[in-house]
Amino acid sequence: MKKIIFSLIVTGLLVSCSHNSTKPSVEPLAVSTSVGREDMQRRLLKKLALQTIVPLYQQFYEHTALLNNNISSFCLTPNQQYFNQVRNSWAQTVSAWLRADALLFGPAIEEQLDFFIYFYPAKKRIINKLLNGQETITAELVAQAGVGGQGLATMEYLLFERNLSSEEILQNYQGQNGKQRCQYLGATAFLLQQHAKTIYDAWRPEQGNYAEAISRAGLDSLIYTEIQQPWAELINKIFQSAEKISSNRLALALGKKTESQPKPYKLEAWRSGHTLANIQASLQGLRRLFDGGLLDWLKQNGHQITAENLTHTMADFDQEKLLHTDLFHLLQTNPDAIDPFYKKSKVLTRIIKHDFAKAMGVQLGFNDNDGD
Amino acid sequence: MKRRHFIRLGTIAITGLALGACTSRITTSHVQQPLIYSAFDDDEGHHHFGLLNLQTQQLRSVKMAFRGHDVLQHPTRPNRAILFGRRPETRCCEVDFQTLETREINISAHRHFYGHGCFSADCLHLFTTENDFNRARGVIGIRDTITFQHLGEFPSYGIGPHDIQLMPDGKTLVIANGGIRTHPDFGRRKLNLNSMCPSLVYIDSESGKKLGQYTLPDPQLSIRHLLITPSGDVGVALQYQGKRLPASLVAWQKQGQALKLLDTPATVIRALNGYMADLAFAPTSNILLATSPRGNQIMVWDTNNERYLKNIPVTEPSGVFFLEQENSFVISNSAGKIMALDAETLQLTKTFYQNSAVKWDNHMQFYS
Repeated sequence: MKKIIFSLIVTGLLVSCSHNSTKPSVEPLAVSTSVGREDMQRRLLKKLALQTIVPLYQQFYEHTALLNNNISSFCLTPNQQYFNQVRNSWAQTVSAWLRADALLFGPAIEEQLDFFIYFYPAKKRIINKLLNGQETITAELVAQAGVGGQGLATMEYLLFERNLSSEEILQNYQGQNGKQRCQYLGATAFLLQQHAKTIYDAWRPEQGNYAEAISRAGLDSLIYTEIQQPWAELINKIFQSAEKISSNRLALALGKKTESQPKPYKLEAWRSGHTLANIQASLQGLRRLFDGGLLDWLKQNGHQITAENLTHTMADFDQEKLLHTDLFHLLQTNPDAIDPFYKKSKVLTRIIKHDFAKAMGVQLGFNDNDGD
Repeated sequence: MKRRHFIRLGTIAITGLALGACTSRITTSHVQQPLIYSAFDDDEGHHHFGLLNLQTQQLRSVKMAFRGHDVLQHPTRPNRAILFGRRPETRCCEVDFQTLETREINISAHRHFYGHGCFSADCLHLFTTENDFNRARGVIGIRDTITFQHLGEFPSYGIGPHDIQLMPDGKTLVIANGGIRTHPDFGRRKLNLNSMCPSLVYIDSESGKKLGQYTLPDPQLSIRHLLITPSGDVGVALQYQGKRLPASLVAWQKQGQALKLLDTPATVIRALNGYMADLAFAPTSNILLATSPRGNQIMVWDTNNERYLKNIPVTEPSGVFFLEQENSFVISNSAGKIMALDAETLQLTKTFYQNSAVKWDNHMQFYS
C-alpha cells in the first residue's frame, strides 16, 4: 500500500495552506427548544458508549492480545495444534473487529486506523516482497509497508490458502522461510494489538473518554458542538454497516451490481471462507446497538412498529443456516441459494434507511448521505 | 448545454456577445423540445443516465454500471451526452439518446475521475477533473471530444479538483479544488480532513498556466461546485468537513475581486448540515440560488448587494438551473420532482415532472 498513510501524515504536517484570515468565525449556537429530547439523546449515547461500544472495543483488544500470544507460542513450536489455535484466534479477532463495524467514527477512523486493522484485499506484492527479502521482518518494517501489508487481511493471506490443506500450509512455517513467515505474523499481530489498544483507550473513561465527548456534545464537548452530530454519525454508520452487507459484501460477489456471473474472489475473506462469519459478526454488532438502547428509544418515542420490524428482521438472521457455510464454495456451486439471504439483508438496509433513521430524526437521503 | 452555459447563452441573445462558440453551436443547429439530462438512481439503487422531455414527460434512460455525477450535452454530436463518473470511478460514458448506444471514456493509468468536466470554447477538447492519487495532486485531463483520446493533462494546482468550468472569455478554466485527499484503495474515505487546503484556481486552458488562486478563511470548507455568470462572477457551493458551525456554505467572487463568503444567518446554516449541492443564477434579477439536500432547503441571495434573501423548504433538492424563457429556476430533487421557482416572486410555481422512483442526482443540464 505504498506507505500512503505515512506519507499522508507527513504531507499533512508539511503542507501549509495560506488563508485570508486566521480563524474561522464560529457563530454561537442557538438555544435548543427541545432540551428534554437532547438530554434523552445524551443519556442514550452515554449508555451505548459505556455499555456497548467500550465493551466491544475491549473485546476486540483482548482478542488481539490473545492472537499475539498464540502466534508467539506457535512460532516457538510450529506444530499443527498451535497453528489451528492461531487460525481460530484470527477468526475470533476478525469477528470481534466486525462487531464494531457500525462504529467507524471517532477514534476508529482517526488517522485511518481502521484500514490498518482490516484493509482488503491484502497487497500480495508487498507481502511477498517482505517475505522474500533478506531483512528481519520487524514491526517497524511492516508498519512502513502500509495498510496493504498488515492487519487482518494480511494475516489471512499468511494463514490460509484455499488450494492447500492446513497441514500443507503449516509446512510453510518450517525452516528458514518459516521463520521469516513467523516474524511477519508476529510483527503484524503486534501492530494490530497496538491499534486495538489505541481505539479502546480513546473510548474508555479512564483514558481518552470519547464516550464523554459524544454524550456531552453541545455542552462542554471539545469535539461536537451539537448533540445531533454524534447522534447522526452513529445512525449513519449503522446504515452504512447494513448497506455494506447487502451492497458490498454480497451484491458485488453475487454479480448483482453488474448483472454478471458470481465473483467469489471478490469476497472479503475468500481464502479463509470467513465471509459469512464476518457478516454474522457485523449483524451481531448491530444487534448489540439495537438491544443496547436504540430499540427502547424507538418504543418510548412512538415508533413501536419500527422497533418490532427491526427485532423481527434481526431475529430472522439468527435462524439463518447459511451463516455457517462457506460463501466462496456456495457461489461456485449453488449461487442461487444465497438469494434469500441477500434479499433479507436488503430488507434490513431498507428498514434502517427508511424507518429507523427517520424515527431517530436523522436524514439519510440519496444525495445528502454521500452525494459528492 | 450546461445549465451555466445556458444562462450564458441566454445573455448572448440579449447582448450579442460572441461567447463560447462551442456551446452556441448546439442551440443554433439543434433547436428541439425542452430536454433535461441528469443522472438518477431508481428505488433499487441502480444507476441511470436519463434524458427527460419536459413537454412530453418522456424519460429515456440507460442503466449504468457506475454512479455518475455531472452531465454534459456533447457540443457537436446531436443526441449525445456525457455522464461523468464520480470518484473513484475510472469511467465516464457517452450515450446516444436516439439509439441508446453507449461509449465508455476510460481514465489513464493511476488516475480516477471526480465527476465533472467541460469543453473548450472551440469544442475540440474535453477537460475533466481527475486524481493523480499516487502523487496526491489534482489534474485536469484533456481529451479529444470526438475520439476521447487522452491528449495530456494540466495540474489543477490543488488536491481533489471537483467542478470545472470555462469562463466567459472562452480561454480561462476555473477549477474548484475541494482540498480533500482520497485514494481508490480507501474507497470514498476522506484522508486529510485536518490538513485540507481547498482553493479556487484559474488556469489558461491552452497552456495550463495558473492565472490566480483563491482560498477561504476556513480550510475545512471544501470548494465543490461552481456557477459562472455571463459577466464572469463566480458562485461557489461549499461542503463543510469540520464539526463546528461554518460561517457560510456559499461563496461569491465578483470578477477580479476577492473570494468571500456570502452572509447567511447562523440559525439557517445550522439547518443545512454542512452541505450545499448545486447553484444557479438569474441574470435578469441577479438572484443566486443554491440547493441544500441535507437541509431540505433552497437558499436565495441577491448578488447585487450580496445579501441573503430567504430559504425555501423543498425535500432534498439537488440540481438547479435558470430557465430564461420562463424566468424561473428549475429544480430537481431526490423525490423525483422537477419543479419551477419563479425568479421574481421566489415562489414555487409548478411541477414539470414527478416520479418518485427517480432519485435525481446533484446536477442536471438543460437543452432546448
